[in-house]
Amino acid sequence: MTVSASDKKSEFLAGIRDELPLQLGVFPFGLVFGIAGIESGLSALQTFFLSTILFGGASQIVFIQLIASGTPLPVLIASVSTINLRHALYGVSVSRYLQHLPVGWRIILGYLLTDEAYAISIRRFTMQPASAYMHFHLLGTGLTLWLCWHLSTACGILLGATIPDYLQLSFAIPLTFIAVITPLLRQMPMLVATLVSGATAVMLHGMPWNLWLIIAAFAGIIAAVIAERLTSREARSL
Amino acid sequence: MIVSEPLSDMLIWCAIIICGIITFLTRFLPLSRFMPKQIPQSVEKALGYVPAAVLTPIIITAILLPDGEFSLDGNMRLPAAIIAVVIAMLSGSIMLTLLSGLGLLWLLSYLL
Repeated sequence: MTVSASDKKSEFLAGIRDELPLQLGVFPFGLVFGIAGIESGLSALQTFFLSTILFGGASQIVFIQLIASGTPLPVLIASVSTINLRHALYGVSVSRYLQHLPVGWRIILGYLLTDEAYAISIRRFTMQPASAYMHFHLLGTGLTLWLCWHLSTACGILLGATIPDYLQLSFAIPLTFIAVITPLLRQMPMLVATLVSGATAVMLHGMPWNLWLIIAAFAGIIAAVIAERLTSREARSL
Repeated sequence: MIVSEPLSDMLIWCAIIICGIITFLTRFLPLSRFMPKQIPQSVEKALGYVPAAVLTPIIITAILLPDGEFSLDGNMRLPAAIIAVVIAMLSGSIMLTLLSGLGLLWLLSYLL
């Protein structure tokens, strides 16, 4: 990381440099998505443009799973949108650094605001001295991720049929998510969200229209909010 | 009912575009000037629980119901996933979690 990046180019390059190590995890994920997209019955074009239009790994995986199991459109859209709700939080968190930019910039950076770009650029925004060109850092992380995601999706689409089933590469998807949420579980409400949403999903999995995902997600969020209120009340009464 | 009947090509494109627009708005609106600068703390907290609440159901069903059917018998994904959770907890590394989980799944499938 650069300590005092003073111009556009160095901010942009710092963003690329900071984002690159994460691509070790992003590339296999995109590859698996490309393979799974074709297997689910989507065309190569649909699979590829999901990566452009949705541009969010977890939601794309759910999209193809729900499509493959014949989910009604409203449930599909609600489930996919719920998964991406968390991105609103990223927007709220970075908006104070980007509010002054012209709307074109905010549209581009909003589009690029995914988990991996946010996670890296928020560190630069909060932990290093502010500069007038800080937004170039987010452009760097976002574009790096965007390129890698499209490249890996394309590879998955092209390689799809040649990768043998016994490798069970689809297992890479839950493994990636395990790596993402496990560090969160040290906080009690997060643990509650995990347990409740997981148990609800298992119990409701047979539900018609694949409603289980959206119900499990909201059950988990509500349970976590209640758990958090209860613990903070306890802490106050002590 | 349209259940179990695959969506037509046209409908799939519609779904992709609608999901794309909603997702873009989720990311862009907080950066736009239409939104209040501060959102209620309770909403912010609730949004923080979204990743755990949406990713866990995806993880659990991918492990316990790999083919849409509940299966524990000879399910090598379960032990591999449990070890992966431990590795993730200890290392915090996505790559290490991926490699150890997949490696273990291959090893177990090969041995048993």
